[in-house]
Amino acid sequence: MRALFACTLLAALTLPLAASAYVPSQQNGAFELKFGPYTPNVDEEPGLKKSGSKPYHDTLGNDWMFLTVLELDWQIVHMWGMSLGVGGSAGFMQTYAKAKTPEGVPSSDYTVLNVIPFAILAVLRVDALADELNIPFVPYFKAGINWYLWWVLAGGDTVDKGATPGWQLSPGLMFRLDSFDPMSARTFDNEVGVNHSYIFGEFTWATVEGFGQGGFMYLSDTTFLIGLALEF
Amino acid sequence: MMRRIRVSTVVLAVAALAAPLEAGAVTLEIYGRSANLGDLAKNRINLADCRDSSETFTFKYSLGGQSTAGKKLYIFAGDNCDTSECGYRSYDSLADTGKVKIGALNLVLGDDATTADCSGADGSINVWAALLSGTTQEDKDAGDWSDPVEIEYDLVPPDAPSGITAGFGEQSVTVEWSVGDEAANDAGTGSGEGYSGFDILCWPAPGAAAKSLPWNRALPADGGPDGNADSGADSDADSDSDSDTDTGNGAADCGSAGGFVAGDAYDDQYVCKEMGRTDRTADVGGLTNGVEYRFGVVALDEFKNPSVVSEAACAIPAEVIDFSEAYKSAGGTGSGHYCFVATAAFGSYDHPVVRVLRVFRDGFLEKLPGGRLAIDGYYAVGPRLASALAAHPAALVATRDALFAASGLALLLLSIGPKAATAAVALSLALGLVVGLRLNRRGRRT
Repeated sequence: MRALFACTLLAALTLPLAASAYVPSQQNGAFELKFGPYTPNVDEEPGLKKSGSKPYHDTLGNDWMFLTVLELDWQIVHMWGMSLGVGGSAGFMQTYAKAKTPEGVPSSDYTVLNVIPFAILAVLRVDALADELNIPFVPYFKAGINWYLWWVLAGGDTVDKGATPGWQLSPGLMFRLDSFDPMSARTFDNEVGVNHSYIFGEFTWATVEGFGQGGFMYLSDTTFLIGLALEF
Repeated sequence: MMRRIRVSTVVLAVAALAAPLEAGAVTLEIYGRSANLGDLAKNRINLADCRDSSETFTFKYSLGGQSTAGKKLYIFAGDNCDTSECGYRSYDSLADTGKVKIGALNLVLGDDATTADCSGADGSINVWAALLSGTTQEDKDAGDWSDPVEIEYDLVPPDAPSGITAGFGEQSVTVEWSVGDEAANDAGTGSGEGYSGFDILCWPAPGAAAKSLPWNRALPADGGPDGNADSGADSDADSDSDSDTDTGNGAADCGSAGGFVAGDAYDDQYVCKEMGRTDRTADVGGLTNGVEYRFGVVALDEFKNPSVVSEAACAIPAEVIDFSEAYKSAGGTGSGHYCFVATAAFGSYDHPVVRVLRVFRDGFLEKLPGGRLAIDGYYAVGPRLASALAAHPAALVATRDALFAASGLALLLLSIGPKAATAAVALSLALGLVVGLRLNRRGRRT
């Protein structure tokens, strides 16, 4: 009798919990919005370096560009506490300065360098720490191929344009924000389908120099980006 | 003639009871304007309209089929004929519909006014048509009145912009200005005045054959054309005090003689650019490097009244180096619109043959179907071809000869255009095909 009572009581207590147990939605991808400084190494192009010329520095100055990137990943495989996927990203950065006369006097004309960096990436995220050990960090690694479109404006008109291919390596670390408010995170997942949200920092080694083929503007840089990410 | 009347308070009371000023069968509308100098809405009068004694409003009236026996048509103009004087004109012989003309000046200031009186006023007046049986004040309140037509007027020009600066660019100058009581003007005061735009005055005119001026000098020792950011006062950062021969250096009479003068009345013959109401900067292009230009700004209010010409600022357009030029001239090979092979063959991006080929690429090849694809394909292999050529002098010479011949063909194709050239090639191919087939057939017979 006691055993029956105990079983009934246990069932009564656990039934509501079982009914409301959190079942995460299927996780298929990730969206990232990230920002950071970027200073392309235009002046490192062999021909320029050999002659000692620094056209980028001389005309556009030392200021870094503000790079904004949107990235969308498709997480194809989830296993062994990791996700492996492919992604694509596109961004924009710009720098400008007043064009100078041959004697170096600044004019009222602006010369502008615009760059749209595209990338196709392979992305490996290690979810095990956060998923299995409740340590809210997700290290990740990305590697990919770049295609940087660039164009130059002078006096408001496009005077030159081109593209430079390259590659990049990007290790990063994401901090899972769900740990601050797990209930809200679950609600976010149930209602919108967002499994996890993160802030993250990412080193990027971008070698955008035309794979050594020559005839391409050098747009490489090593930089650090920070951003927000959503897994869905 | 417009005379002045005042309606008595007794009559007003009667009028109020009988509501004689309510719209009746009589109607009135603006039919047209004679000149409409300011290109305004039909019901607006500006200073130029007022000062043009020939500027007239044509009103169209209708009496609604009423009997006109013993009656006159009156056109009243004023703020409110119940409470203040209204000017009027009367017309004896009446058709049921017709038109009457009244000068803009008379509408605003009355018949006694002259064009010299056109200043310092803004507001609005109402115009009515009324069919009345007599000429006494009482009679006027017993007739049939139209709805009023509102005429707005603004005889107050805006203040001239101030703080004019002119900064040089390559074949261009950037003019900047500010406006004094911007908030008041933008918010609208008086009759709703605000800026409708700004006209930039230039002297000499852009594109005109610029006269070579005696002070068209080499750049001063500090390297800069001293027109940079000059304003009314010599406030530029130019610290050299010896060789600066900049005439006026931003004063009202800076630059070459002739043209407009600061403080003068607006003259649209000097307008080189029109800007919007919120603009405070303008890029004036089409200028000649090395020629000193004088710039002024005129503000226009919502009634298109122009201010006087602002203080002047001068600048001398000069060659400037953009990033692309700096990069290419320093030896950068980034594949923009770069002619790898031709540049390698002739040794310079600016060689005449390379220039012709660049023009051919942008002005001809790119416009052909598949032309963009061909150009992209060239850019994919161009750098390697150029590198290979550089390593083989004999090939470089042969390439140079071939490109020289190709540039001649390019000039020919450019002169007839992409469409005609495509048609000519298609025709040639068709003729070749026909001739080839015939020759082939003849060959088989023999």
